[in-house]
Amino acid sequence: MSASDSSGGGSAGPSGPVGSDPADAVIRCAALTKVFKDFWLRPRVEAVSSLDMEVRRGEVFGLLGPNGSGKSTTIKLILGLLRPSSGRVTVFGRPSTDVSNKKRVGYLPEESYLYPFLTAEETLAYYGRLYGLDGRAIRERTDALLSMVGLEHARRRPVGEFSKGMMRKVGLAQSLINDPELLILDEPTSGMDPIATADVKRVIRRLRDRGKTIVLCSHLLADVEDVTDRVVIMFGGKARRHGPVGDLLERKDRTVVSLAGLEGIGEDKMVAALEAIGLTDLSVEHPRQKLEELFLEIVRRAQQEGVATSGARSGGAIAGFLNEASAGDDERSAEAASAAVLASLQAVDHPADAPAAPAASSGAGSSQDPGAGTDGLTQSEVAGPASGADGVNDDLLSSLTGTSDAQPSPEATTPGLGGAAESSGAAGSATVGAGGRASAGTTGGSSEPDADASVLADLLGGADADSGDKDKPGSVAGSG
Amino acid sequence: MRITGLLWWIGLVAATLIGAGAAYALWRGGSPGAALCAGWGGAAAVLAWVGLGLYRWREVGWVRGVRASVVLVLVGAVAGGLLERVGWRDAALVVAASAGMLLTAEVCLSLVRLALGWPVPMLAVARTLIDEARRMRIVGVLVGVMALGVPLLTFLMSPEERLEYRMGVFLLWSLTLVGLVLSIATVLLTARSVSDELAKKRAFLTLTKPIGRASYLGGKLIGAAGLNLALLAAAGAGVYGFALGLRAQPAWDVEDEIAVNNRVLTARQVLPPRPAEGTDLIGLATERLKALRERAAGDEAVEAEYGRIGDPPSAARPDLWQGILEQVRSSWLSVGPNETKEFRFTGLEKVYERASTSRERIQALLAEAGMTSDREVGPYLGQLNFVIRQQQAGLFPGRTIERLVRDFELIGERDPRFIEVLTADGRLSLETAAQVYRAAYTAPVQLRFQPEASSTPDEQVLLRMVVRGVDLSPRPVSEGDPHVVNVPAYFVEADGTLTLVVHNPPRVMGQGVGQAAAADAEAVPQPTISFNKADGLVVLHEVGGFELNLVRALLILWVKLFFLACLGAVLGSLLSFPVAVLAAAVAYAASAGSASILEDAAQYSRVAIDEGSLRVALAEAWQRAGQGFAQGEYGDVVKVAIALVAGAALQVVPSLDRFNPAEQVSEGIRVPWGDVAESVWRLGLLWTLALGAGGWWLFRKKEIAGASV
Repeated sequence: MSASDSSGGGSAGPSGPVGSDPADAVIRCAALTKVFKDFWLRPRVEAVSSLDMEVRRGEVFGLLGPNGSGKSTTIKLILGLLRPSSGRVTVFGRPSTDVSNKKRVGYLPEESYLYPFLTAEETLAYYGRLYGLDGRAIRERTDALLSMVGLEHARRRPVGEFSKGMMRKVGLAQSLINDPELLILDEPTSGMDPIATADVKRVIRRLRDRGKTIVLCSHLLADVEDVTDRVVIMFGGKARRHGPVGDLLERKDRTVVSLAGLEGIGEDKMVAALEAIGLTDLSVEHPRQKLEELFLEIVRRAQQEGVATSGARSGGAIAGFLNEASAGDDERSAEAASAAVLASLQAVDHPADAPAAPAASSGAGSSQDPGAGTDGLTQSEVAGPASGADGVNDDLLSSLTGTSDAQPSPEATTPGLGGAAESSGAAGSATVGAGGRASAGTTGGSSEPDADASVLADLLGGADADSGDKDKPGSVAGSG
Repeated sequence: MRITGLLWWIGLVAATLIGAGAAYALWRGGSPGAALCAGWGGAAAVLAWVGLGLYRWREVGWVRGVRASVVLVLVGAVAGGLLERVGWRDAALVVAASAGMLLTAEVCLSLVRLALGWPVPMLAVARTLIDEARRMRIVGVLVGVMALGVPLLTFLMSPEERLEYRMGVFLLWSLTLVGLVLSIATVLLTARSVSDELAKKRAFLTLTKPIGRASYLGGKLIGAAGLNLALLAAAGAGVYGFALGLRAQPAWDVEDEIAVNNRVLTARQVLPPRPAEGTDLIGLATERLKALRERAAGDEAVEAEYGRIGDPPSAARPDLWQGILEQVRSSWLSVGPNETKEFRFTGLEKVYERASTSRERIQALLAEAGMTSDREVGPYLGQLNFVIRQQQAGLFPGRTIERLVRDFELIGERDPRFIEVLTADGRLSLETAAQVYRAAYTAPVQLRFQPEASSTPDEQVLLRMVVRGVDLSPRPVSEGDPHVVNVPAYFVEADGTLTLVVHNPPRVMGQGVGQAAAADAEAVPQPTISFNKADGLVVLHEVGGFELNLVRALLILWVKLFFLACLGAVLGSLLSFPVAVLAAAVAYAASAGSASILEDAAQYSRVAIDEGSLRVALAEAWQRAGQGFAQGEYGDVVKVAIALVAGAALQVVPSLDRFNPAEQVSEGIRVPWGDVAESVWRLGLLWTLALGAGGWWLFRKKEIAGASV
């Protein structure tokens, strides 16, 4: 199979590499096979079997699979720690064992294989020297990276004393010390708390924005889903499915409409109204705040109150040397970054939040308070069949937000930490999502009678999403 | 107030300037007491400020190093001072010296780390190995053993022993201890560092960086070399310091005092004798070959090996010709009954130059004492020293030197002139006599001989060893033991030659020196006395100082440790830690004892696998094995097989015992630069490169990561 195939819906089953521009491919695996042998050279385990895969420049590529599916072996083959039994793997067009390639690669292993006797800054200095960085560059990058991962206060403590999460942060920092073009992250959020996890995802997005190529291997599917452009799912050493995340996850048979609360209207009326216009198989739910959101909020408040901790702290701005293309972003404070994390997590719930899919929002940017969107929210979700309801959904959007022609801004198309601040206005706004991609822009043109729209408007009591009513958002999903 | 680095430096400079300025101003103003107070106050303020800085920035790497150094200085000074105050001088010295050695090691390690700070991947690995070593408990314990052991060695020997002996033993033991400890530490460190990094997967991360596997192993090697350099510097400083301290202790006598400087804390060259002019060893060997050919004329087998009559010597098989030459040399170094042989030691021009000065000094001293100065006192100086020692010890109060000489039969009837010198009692004071002795032996030549006799009833031999008409060895000496005779430097001829005449006279049982033989005394059968060709008869003379000799010895040790580091790293890259260490220990033991193992194997199997030619050894083994089979003595065949396996195994390990300079240093024998160069070439380059290349090839093939599915 080819994981380079970006055709919608992904594909299953093996096939040869798709003929994309070879110059664009950072990693190419062709019929890659790795068989481990025993002492007598008898085949013992076939860890990777005829894997065809291609990772393109500038994308975040997810390598997924259950334990023992061959992900780590694939990564070790890519890094030259193992040699293929057959097939070929090239990185930047050269064999993976080519030492000169490695100047362009950063690697975070699945466990923190760090020297316990070195302090955090000595660790980074060591890896910096391995890349041939001079003392000044090492000092500058060490400062920036430790600040970025929130370990500035622990820079002179031996790594052996660190918690697992702190070690992972040092590991992440070392993988970035050379400002790599290709970053390979094996379980980057393993052992990390939600704050650190959010930080890591923010870093990944920012690096992707800077044109870095990232290979992400993780069990935490939610994390992968948040940040990857394309994924390959492995099982038994073979690639089982691949393609853009959005395409793989999109459910074309469901539509979610998200809107402010239904107080004064009642769910029954809402459902009746929707059934009246021919929608069936409806469900209404009240989205709950995620535990992660709650956790982040508590920690954020503790930080604002100045509660001391010797453990890991929330990360700061992306290290400047990684961000040379837009120096202004460097000045983003740690607090702002945390706020962005919160904002992104409080964004409207989307069944399939693909990175490429624009998050529908109206009244965008109405709130810069990361906590505001979660206060007093009562969301309701009505799910129903989407088929044949595109025009209705458009009208719904128009009725609810008054911005039926609203198109998502390019910034808003990237959810998460990096783009979260820009799209944070989604929180607390009346929002309508339709289709599997939860986007107003994906629902197609309007062809339904105006009467239906007016019924809905009546039912909703003239709720004006434009007014920035953050109290009662809700979502409606349906098919019909 | 928050103290920043800049503020701290300003404070330090200010406190120093204010304290020093105030003290200077007060001193200039005529108030020395106040100046002293100001000086002490300023010093205290500076110290307090420094202490504050060390505490404030205690987690900064280089501050930690400075703090460790300060702590070591304080421990050495305070603990040493306290122990000294309570009367435990030896303990004080040990504590202070240990702290000093550790301080030296710390400073040297910091310098090495600084030197390894270049942004080169290989040096980064090297630097991290040093950091690892500093935190490894086992290395810490071994360094502690070394830092404590070297000072303690000086106190393990009884002060009743001669100082020369104590000095020699101290140097031998301390250098052996340093070599042993650092060898173990090096192998443990490198084997563990590499094998642990592979087992704990730290190497995964390192080897995904732009560093090749050869550079990775090379980095480990350089790190170990840097570490050993620092530790050897500390150990060398400790050994040197204690040698100086030991030298300052009271010697037995003047001879002992001089022997320490002339025989131990020096660097002497060993000169073998040359045949007297007209002696043609090649000619003798040719004659012997000719006689052999004549005896075996017609025997084709012998002629095939030794050539025919009339053939040149080169027609003989080379190893057989060399064997004949060796026999001739050995017989030349033998003195038959009533035989007299002359041996010449050349190349002593420098000794002659120094001797002229000492001769003038002796003559001046004797002239000052109002004595005629044409007497040759050199041969009697040993006796003179004995007398001086008795007098100094006050063992025989009231006795004159003359009386002592006669009482102890030191001179005998043969030396009336010396009696004259000594009977000038009152003119030749003890002090002057000691000065004469020192002057005579400032730069002496030592004659060292080890006589082997064919048969003696009492294991004693009598040798007349005469230089310029003076018998240097007037009485029987034990056979098989080494003996040393000091030869005054001015016995050397102007052309730098020392001519020794050796006579093997008849001897009578129980006859003392200078005594007439008893009428019924039994004559001792006269044996043939021979000297081992390697070092049975040699002359030693000073050619350099102890300091440089010690440095050369430490350099050889360093090269040896370099090889061991390579051994540890290579084995660590292929095997797990315990197996790697075990394998390294076996290889080390085989290397260190290869000569004696070969010798034992040769004795066991009666096949000369310990002597040069492999072809000859194999032929001999084949022959012996054939005989064993033919006679049904299969045990012999097994023995031969074992010997051959041992011989073959030892062919592939370098002979480390060749590179052990501790004995040379302890005997004051020069470690030549040639030995250093040879150790660098053979051990540091050839063997290390061969081992490293082989290890790298295997490591390169090795898949670092294993199955993880």
